[in-house]
Order: sequence, then structure tokens, then C-alpha cells
Amino acid sequence: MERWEWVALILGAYLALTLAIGLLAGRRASSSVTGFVAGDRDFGLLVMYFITGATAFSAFAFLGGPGWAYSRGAAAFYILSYGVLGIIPWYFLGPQAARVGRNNGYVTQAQLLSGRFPSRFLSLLVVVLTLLAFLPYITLQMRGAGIVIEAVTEGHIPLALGAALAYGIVILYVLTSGVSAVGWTNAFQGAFMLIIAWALGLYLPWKLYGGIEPMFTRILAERPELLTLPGLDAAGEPWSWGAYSTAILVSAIGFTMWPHLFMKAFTARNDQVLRRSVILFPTFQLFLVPVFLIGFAGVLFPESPHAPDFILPFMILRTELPVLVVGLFCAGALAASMSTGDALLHASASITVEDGVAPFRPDLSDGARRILMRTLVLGMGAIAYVFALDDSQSLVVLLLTSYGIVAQLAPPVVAALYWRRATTAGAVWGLLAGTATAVYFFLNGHLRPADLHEGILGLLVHIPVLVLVSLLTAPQDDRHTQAFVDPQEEWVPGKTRHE
Amino acid sequence: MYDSQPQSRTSPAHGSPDPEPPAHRRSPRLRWAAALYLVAFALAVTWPGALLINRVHPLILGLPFNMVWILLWVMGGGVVLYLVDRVEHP
Repeated sequence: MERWEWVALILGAYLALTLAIGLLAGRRASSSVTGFVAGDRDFGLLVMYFITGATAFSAFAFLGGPGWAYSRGAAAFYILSYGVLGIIPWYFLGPQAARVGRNNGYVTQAQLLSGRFPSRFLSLLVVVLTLLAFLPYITLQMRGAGIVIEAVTEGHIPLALGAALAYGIVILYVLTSGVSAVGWTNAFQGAFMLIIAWALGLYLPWKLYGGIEPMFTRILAERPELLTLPGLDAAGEPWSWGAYSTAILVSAIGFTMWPHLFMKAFTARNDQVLRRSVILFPTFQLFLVPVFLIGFAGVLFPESPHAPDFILPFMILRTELPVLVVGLFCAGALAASMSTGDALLHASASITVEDGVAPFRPDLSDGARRILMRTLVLGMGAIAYVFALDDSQSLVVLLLTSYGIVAQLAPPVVAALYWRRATTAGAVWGLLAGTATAVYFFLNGHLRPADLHEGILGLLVHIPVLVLVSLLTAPQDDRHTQAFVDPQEEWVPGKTRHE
Repeated sequence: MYDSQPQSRTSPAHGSPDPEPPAHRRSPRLRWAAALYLVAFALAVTWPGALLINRVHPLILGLPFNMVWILLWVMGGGVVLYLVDRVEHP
């Protein structure tokens, strides 16, 4: 048997195992909409921990992380900086959102927002922004899976087939089992990614340089610009502090606002589980250390791949690693891609139905909603697949913009949970003004002051508009805001605060 | 079985959720400390704070000093949240 055939075999075994876990998971959940979207709110600590970690670390971290360290050096440290910066506020925000969600039966972010700020337009606006931000993100995950499979099988399984294979499996278990499949497969894939990353991150510097310290000493001697903050930009020129700093800030603000991560608050069994998974999150960040080591190990590698994102598969195929390690690496990269892709597909379908369709068709039955969700998972997957086959650069650019869009969800969410005086008009106008500003500066990049990220510029317009319009419009009823700003626990099944 | 419940969107969790622990006590002082840590963290890893530590030496465990600096803030974030959690939810 050829080497690539062994790799394909290991990969096939891994995919089969993931599929089995995904399908078995569904047997535990009820067949309700809440079961499909929020997993009957029944995830324990271990599962929650790996879901948060595995969902946050996408193909971008597993392939893009080494790629950035390899081509842009210290610029990659921004990825290390923003995760915990973003999750600290979530320790306070998450449990409160979860409590409001349990009291009112919310399963999505837009329901929380339009619950506090009653407006179907707001709900629809959030859906549109979410889908805009999700599409390039899903597309990149699919391409990542396809690229890894193509590279490691030496082209015997082309990108189109590889991506279709990996995401065929994802769609199969998301359709069958909903969020429980996403949870259990991510718990498995998260643990798997951690082990593979650490093994390769320690092995490659040792194999190529004789250790981590000798590696950095040599890079410092030959390419010192790579080890100085803020690193290099995509063109290999020194990056600006304005862009580096605001990349950290916009990512930190946008991080927990990604609807697929935000919805995790509604799947937690209780506040304690949610809080603990946040406290443990920094341990997941340690995973970026080996990821960067892999990238830095490639810096003085004699040959270079045609694109930086390929550095990891490129080195692995040239360091005569045992075939088992190559197969497991490939599976790890697939895990990174699939564990984010499944959550994104699932969330985009749930959100479109719950927030884009249900408010306008409240008479839609539970069963009809589930059928619609499944159709949408397929539809969104198909659209992303078409984009994934298109080999253009603009998707990476779109992904960066999508963080600017997602960060715009932060002011209304914070206002909904903490500011009694916020009004519906304030939330809607703030969101419109912030998004318009971000899109304007994205399209006119040369006008950005100090090279700041357009998402941050959007927030600088968004927040004053939210505050001013809120103060100029009539305040909301105290009893209404009470349920969001100071929610009390209610454990009476079938009875809710607003009925 | 739940498919026949058109109201399920506005009803709380199915099944019996774990009972919440008794009302926790908020510690405003610790929450302020966590907020301060967050601001200090943001300043320490971006401009201008990061200018002060932008060095490769000394290598710690073989890693560049500026990378270790960020790592320490990341781990410190976990410690701060752990302390808040211990006090507010004993």
C-alpha cells in the first residue's frame, strides 16, 4: 500500500469515529426545537469546556496560526492576546444572559435582543448580519478541510472531493442530532486537537533545531524582525501598532458575540457549568504555544510552500514523519475545521428560522420549524461549498470584515443586560450606524485614521448613537427592564415571566 | 412529544434542570478588581504598553520574552476569574 493510502485510511477511521459519536449523541436529545437548538440545556462541564475551546479554535488557528507565525512572526501573538481578553467579560455576561434565556425560553441571541428591545426589524437585522459574517467563515473552514486532505493525500483526493467528504459527514450528524452532536463531537475533537498540536509543536523544533531555545536563537540571528512586535503585515513589511492593537480589541469584543458561541450560554445546564468553562478557558489558550512553535519551526526551513497557510502540512510531508503521525495530524486539522464548521452551520440555520422566520410566522409548528432548519443546514452548506471551490483571495478579506460586523452586536447585548435606560430606537439606530461605519471604512481602507480596524471605528460611532438616541426616546417600563437587568431564577416549568 | 407544543419557544428548559445553588453574594470590590485587570491586560498587550516589553531576551523556557509576557497576562486572567468565583460562589 502506498504511503498516502495509509494516511487516507487513518483519516477515514477518524471520520467514521466522529460520525459515530455524532449519531449516537442524538439518541439522548428530545426531538423538540429546544432539543435541536439548545440541546435541552443539558451539557455538563467537560462537554461545555471542549465545545467552547474547539469551537473557538477553527481551521484558522490550526492552519492560519502556524501560517501567521511563519510568515508574519510576532504579529501572530495577537491571536494569543484576544481570547482571554474577550472571555473575561463573558464570565459576568454569560450567566446573566443564560438566566434571562431560561426565564423567557430564549434559544438565540436575537431573541434576547428583541425580547428586551421589541422589534421584528431588529431581529431580522441581527439575522442578516449573522449570515453575512458566517458565510465566509464556513467557506474558509470547508476550504481548510479540502486543502489538508488534498495536500496530505498528494492530490489523490482533490480539494472539491475532500471538502465534500468532510462536510458531508458534518451535515449528516448535524441533521440527525442537532446541537447534541455538535457538543459531543466537539468534546472529542477538542481533546484530539490539543494532543496533536502539543506533540507536533514540541517534536518539530526538536527535530529541526535541537530544541525550542536553539530555534529562537537562530531565528533571532537570521530574521530578527519576526520576533519583534507587532511583526510583519501580509506583504512582509513591518505591521503598524494601530492595526495590531485594534485587531486585538475588535477580536476580543467580537469573540463572545459570535452567535454560535453566544448560544452556548443557552445550552449550559446551569450557571456554574458556564462559569467554570470560562475559568478553564485560559488553559485552552496554551494550545496556541505549540501552534506558534510549529510556524516558527518553518521559518528557516530550506524550502517554502506556495502559501503560508500550507506550512504545517508542507513540513509534515517533508520531515519523514511516521505515516501514523501524518494521518493523525491531518485528522487534527480536520477536527479544527469540522468542529467550527458544524457549530456555524447549525447556528446559521437555527438563527434564520427562530429570528428571521418565526417572528413573522408565529403560527409555524414546532415540526415545521425543524424541517425548515434542516433544509437551511443543507442550503447554507451548499452555498458555502460553491464558494469554497472558488479560489479567490477575497474570502480572507471578508473574514476580517466579519469580525467588524460581529463586534457591532456587543453594544446592544451589553445594553440589553445592564442598561435600563436603553431603548429599542437606540439599539436599532446604533446597530445601523455602527455597521454602516464599519462597512464604509472597509470599502475605503485608505481613509482609516492610524490604520485602526474598521470594526473599532464602527463602535466609536455605534456607542454614542445608542446612548444619545436612547436618552432622546421614552424610557422602557421598569418591570420590563427588570427581567433583563436583574433577572431572578424561576424554575416553574411551563410558566414564564411575561405570560 | 414536544412537537405538539406550539408554545415551547416561550417555555423554560425541558426535563428537570439542576437546582441552582442558593443565591450567591456578589463582591463589588472583586468585580472592580477584575475590571481593572481587564483594562490593564488590554493596555499591556497593545500599544503603548507592549512597547515596554518588546524584547526577545531573556528567553524563558526557550520562548521569546514578549510572548511569555502575553502568556502571563493570559494565565493571570484565569487566576483572577478563579478568585472571583471562589469568593462569590463558595
